Amino acid sequence: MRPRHYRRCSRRQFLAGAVSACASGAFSLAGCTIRTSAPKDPSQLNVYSWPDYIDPAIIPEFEQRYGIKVIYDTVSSNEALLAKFQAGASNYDIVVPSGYMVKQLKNMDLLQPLDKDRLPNFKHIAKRFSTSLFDSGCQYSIPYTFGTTGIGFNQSAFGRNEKDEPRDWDVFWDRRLSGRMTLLDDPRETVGLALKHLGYSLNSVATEEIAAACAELKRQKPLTMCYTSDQVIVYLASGDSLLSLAFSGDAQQAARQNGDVKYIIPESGASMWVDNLCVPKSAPHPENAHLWLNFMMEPRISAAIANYTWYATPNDSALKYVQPELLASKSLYPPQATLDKCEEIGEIGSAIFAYDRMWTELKCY
Amino acid sequence: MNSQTLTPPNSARALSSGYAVLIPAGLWLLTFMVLPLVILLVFSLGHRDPLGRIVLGSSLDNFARFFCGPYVACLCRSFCLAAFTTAICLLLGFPCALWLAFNLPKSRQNLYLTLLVAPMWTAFLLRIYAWITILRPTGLLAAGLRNLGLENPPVILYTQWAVLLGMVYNYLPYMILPLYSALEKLDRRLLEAAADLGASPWRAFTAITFPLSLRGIVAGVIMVFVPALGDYVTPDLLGGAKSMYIGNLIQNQFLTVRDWAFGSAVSSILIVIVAAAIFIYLKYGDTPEVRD
Repeated sequence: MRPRHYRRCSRRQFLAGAVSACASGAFSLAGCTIRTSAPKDPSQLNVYSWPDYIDPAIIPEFEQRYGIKVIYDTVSSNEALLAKFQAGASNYDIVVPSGYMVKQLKNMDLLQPLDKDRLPNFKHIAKRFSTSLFDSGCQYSIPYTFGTTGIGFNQSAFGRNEKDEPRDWDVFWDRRLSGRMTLLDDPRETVGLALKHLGYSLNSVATEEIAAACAELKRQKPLTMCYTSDQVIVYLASGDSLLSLAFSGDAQQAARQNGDVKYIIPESGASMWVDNLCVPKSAPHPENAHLWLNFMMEPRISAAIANYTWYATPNDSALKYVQPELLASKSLYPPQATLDKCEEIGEIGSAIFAYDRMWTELKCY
Repeated sequence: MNSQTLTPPNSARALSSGYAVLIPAGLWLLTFMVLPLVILLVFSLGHRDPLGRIVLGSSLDNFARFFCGPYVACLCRSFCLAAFTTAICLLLGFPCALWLAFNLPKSRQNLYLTLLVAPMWTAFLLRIYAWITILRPTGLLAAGLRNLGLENPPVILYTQWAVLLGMVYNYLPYMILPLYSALEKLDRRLLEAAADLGASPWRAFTAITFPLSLRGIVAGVIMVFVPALGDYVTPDLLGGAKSMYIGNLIQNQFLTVRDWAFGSAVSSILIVIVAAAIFIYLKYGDTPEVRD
C-alpha cells in the first residue's frame, strides 16, 4: 500500500473495486484471471512488480548477461497480489510485496526461503533491514526500496519562517489550516498518525488506545479537506493542500513541482515501510529468480533503480552511485537518529477488526 | 419482476420458441449472475481468519454485526443520497424529456439525444476528475468567483453537495432517456382533444401527459436509484472519502480489510433490500396505465 500503487493505478483499483462492489466478491474472484500459459521454459523469468518501479534499461542488461528472457508484469496493490495467489496463480518467479504483505504471504506458506549462498551481493544490504518485524533475518525477502510516511507542508502557510514550521503531528489539529489539509484514506496510516500523536505505538492492539486515537480523529475531521491517497502530490503541488499526511516519495515529487513544499518526519516518529523482492513457493524458475535477486543487489543496479524511481535504496554500497541531490534529501534518506523513532506498520492479527470498526465510525460520524 | 411488466402477452407457441431463444442469455446469466450470487451467500455465512482468508461456515454473525454496528447509518445515508439524486434527476429530467419529445422537430431529436449521451463516451472517472478540477480550492469555479470580487468563495468540493452534484450529473441521462421514450410514444391527439374540450395546458398535463409517462418515470427511477445506491466512486472522489456510503463499506471489506465474509453479507443485504424495494415499488407504485 505504497504511494505509487495508489497514484499510478488508482483507476484500475477503482475498477477492480467496482467489480467487487457491484457484483460481490464472488464475481471478483472470477475476475482474477489465472494465466494458464506459464511455460516451463528454463531460460525465462516472470517478474510481477509495481508499475514504473524499475529502470527499464537494466532489464535488457540482465537478459544479455544471463541469456534469460524476462517477462515483466505489474500489479496495482498488495491486496490484488494476494488475490492472485488466492485464485491459484503459480507462474510468478519474483513478487514485490510491502512488509506487512511479506508476513502475510509467509504465514500463508506461499513464499520459499532464499538460498543466501546464491546471493553473495546480500552483503551490500544495510544491516538494520535484517531486523524487520515482518521477516527477521531476510529469510524470505530482500529489501528493495524504503520510505516513511510523514508531514508534507507548504512553507507559505507557516510564514516561510523555519521556526514556525511544523515539528510534530499536533499541527493536524491546528484550526488555522482548516479545510486545507489532507489525510491518507488508509486506516492503518491515518489511525497510526493519531496513535503516534497520543504517544502510542502505531501497531497498538489495545482497544482503548485505538478508540482514543479515533476520538482525536473525529475532533480533527472538520478541519480535513479530504481523505485521499492518490491526490497527495497533486494537492501539495497546487497549493490546495497546505498540510498533508504524505508518503516520502510523494512529498518529494510535489516538492519538485512546487518549491514551497517541504517534508518532515515528525519528532515523535512516523511509520516506515519497506518493499521487498520475494520468490513464491510455486515459482517455476527459482534458480533464475535467485540470479535476478543477486543482480538487483549489485550496487550499480540498485543505484540505477533509486535514481529512476526516486525511492530510497537499502543498499549501502549503492549510495555512492546515487544522485547527490537525492542522497542529500533528508526526507528520502533520513539520518539514523530519525529512523530510530520510526516504526513499521506490522500485521496486528484480529486487532484489525477494531481499526476497521473505528475507521467506519469515523467515516459515518 | 420486469418480465411481468415488460413482456407483451404471447401465444403459447410463441412462448415456447421464445424460451429457445433465451438459452444463450440464460446460460450467461446462470454463470455470471446466479452462480456468483450463490457463492456470495455461501461466503456471507463464513468468517475471516487472522490472515484474511475466508473460512466457510454457517453462522449469521456477519448479519448480526451489520445491524448492530454503525453500518445501518451507512445504509440510511446511502438511501438518502440515492433518493435525493433520483428526485433531482426526475425534476430536471422531466422538462428536458418533454422539450425533446414535444418541442423539437423529429429531424433534430436524434441529434440532441446524441449530444445527451455524448459525455458518456469519455471515461466516467475522467469526468469526475474534471469536476474536481473545477471545484477544488484553487480551481476554476473559485478563481471565477474571486474575479467577480468574492473574497472567500465557498468551496463545495469534498462536501455532500459535491457528491450530490456529481451523482445528478452522472445519472441524469439515465432518467431522461426512458422519460423521452415514453413521452415520444404519447398519442398527441389526446392532447388536442383535451384542448378542444377546453382543458387548460396544466389540466392536460396532469390528466394526460403525466399519467401516460408513468412507465418512463418508473423505468427512470429504477435506472437512477439502483446504481446510485451502490455508487462508491463518486462519494470517494467528490466527497473526499469523508463520509462512508454502503458501496464504500463493501469495497473497504474486500480491498482494505480483506473481510470477504462480512463484505459478502453486506452485499447480500443490499441486494435483498434493493430487490424488495423494487418489488414493492412495482407492485404498489403501479397505476392501471402502467400495467395495461
